[in-house]
Amino acid sequence: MEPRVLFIEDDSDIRRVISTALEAEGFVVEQFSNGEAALKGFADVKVDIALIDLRLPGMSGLEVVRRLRPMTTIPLVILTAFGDSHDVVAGLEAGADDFLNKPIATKELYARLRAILRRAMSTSSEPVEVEDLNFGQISVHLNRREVFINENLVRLTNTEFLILAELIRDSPNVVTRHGLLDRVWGYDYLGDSRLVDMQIYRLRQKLEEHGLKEKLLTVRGVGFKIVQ
Amino acid sequence: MYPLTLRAKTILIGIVVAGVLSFVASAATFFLTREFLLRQRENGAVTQVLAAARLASSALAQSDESLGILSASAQLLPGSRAALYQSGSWQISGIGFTNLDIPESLLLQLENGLPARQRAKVGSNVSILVGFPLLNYPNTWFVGVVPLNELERSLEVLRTTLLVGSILAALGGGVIGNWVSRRMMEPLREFSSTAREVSLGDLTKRVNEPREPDLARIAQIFNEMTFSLQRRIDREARFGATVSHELRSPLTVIRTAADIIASMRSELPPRAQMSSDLLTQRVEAFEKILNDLIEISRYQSGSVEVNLEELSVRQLVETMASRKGIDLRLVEVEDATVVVDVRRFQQIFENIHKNAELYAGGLDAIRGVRNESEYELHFDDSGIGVTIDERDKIFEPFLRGEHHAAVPGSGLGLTITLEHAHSMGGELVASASPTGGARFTLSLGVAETQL
Repeated sequence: MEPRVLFIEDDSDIRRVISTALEAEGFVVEQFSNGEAALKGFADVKVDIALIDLRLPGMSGLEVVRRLRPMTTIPLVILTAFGDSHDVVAGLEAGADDFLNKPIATKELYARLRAILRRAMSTSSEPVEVEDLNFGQISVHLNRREVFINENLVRLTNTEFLILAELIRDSPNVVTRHGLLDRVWGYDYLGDSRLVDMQIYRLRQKLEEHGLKEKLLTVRGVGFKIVQ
Repeated sequence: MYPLTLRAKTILIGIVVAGVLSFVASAATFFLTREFLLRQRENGAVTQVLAAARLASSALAQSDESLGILSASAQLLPGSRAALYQSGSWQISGIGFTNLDIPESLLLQLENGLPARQRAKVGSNVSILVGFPLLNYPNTWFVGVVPLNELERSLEVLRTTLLVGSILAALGGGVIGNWVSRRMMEPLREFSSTAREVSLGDLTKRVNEPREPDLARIAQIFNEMTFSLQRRIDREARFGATVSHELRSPLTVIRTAADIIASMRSELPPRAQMSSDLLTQRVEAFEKILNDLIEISRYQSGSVEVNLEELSVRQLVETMASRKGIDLRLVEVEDATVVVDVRRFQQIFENIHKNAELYAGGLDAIRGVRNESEYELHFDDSGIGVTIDERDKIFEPFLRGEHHAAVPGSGLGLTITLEHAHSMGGELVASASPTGGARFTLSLGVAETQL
């Protein structure tokens, strides 16, 4: 099945040319020129990943991310200006899973999207027999991508789910930031560790909402671990 | 000889002016006082000698025992020294006094029948000699000697006092000069240290306005200047950032379109293939230059955020080396946990690697050594190297090695590389590699947990 991409970009030339490039690589692209239209149309288009330009007229890309986040568990990837640290941080805070710089080489674009999608879709597209993980009050159903805490379903995004699974697999050992970047995002050693910190923050909040306080621990200078 | 500092000059002027003024005033005081005292003393001496002369005159009328008379009348004088000239011969009374002590001019006056007085040295003391012709006796003179010892001593004391006063005044002048100069120089010193910080790039520095209106004016002007400089640099940086942003949209379109064309390369006729290759190459180069300009404008406007992490230097280097296709046998890196910003480390590595490829056919070796709290990473090549003169220059923007004008690039690569190193609290220097090529040494901080 072709991966389906939601692409929100106001510049029609950029939108056309990037969509063309993605389609040439076998992606199906749902294009929107502004945030309002994308939010309205989101329910009707079934997509696996969203690519959102941050500088949009009207509703900003940040706002789009903020509103999409509770609506879906798919990876949200923001398009930012090269090295614009403020944009990156703001985007990740709003709920984005990853970011890409503009301009971007198409090969890099394909590679990044595939890396993110491979992990996000691994269980749904090619079901394999995997045992569920049981970790104290947490049980993780790898096939169905569901997490239960004390029998209650926890709504996690794909990225949060993958992080939790990695932490539980390696528990009681510490998983480094760069280990997570490699295993969850598919970056080699040199990914941006801010991606991890923001996701950990969200995951920790969700665990706490379900009564699991001080289970997801930060080991200063090393990484993270989860305890029962 | 070194030129004197303003401060030394002020102190020196204080000393000289106060010294000269007080010396002149002291000298004037001394001479006026001396004249006044001498005159008084002389008048007193005249009266005393006159009394003695009268006594001698009246005694002579009754007796001719002239020496006795002289001695008796000399008793009236302090020091009891007097001389009586009578009929061509001198009678002398008193010790250490001869008629030869009497000056010629005084004698001349007396010979003319006139009273006279004169200051002269008698023995070792200055004295006043007063002579009176005794009227009733022809060619008979009485000369009395009144010593000025005491007066001389008083004057000596006065002179010493005034001299000491002058010296103290000169020193006082120096102290005042010092105080004045310090008061003047203090704000100037602050100006200069602030100006130095500004020249080193900290445009937020301002000087405090001193209370002295003249200096306050200078401070205001200085602050206004720094402010306008800062505003101008901000404006330029903003301009750079805006331009870069504006360029980014069309470049995104061009870049992607070029990539799409390149992906269909095999379907293109040869001439279109060549055009596609050129387009791709140049668009990539253009993107690199644009990114360099954006980076440099960020550093210039100070809007740089650093994301420091503590990571294994060996893993960093090996990851980058394998990504860049460098043979891992060339990498000899002692492991340590270093403090880095990953994105910047990557760019430093890429820039040095690319430079080595452009100028020297690639890197020869990457060696890493830990030195206490610092980690040194050497990137060596075997190219023509960097001359000693060029070792600092190559880090300046838009300045490239003399022979390398033909090599493409923005001329900003090493400037940014250096800025990256600094932003992580590190350093980057160029020197010679063991094979005579270039060596770039990146110094990084070792993580505190490892110290």
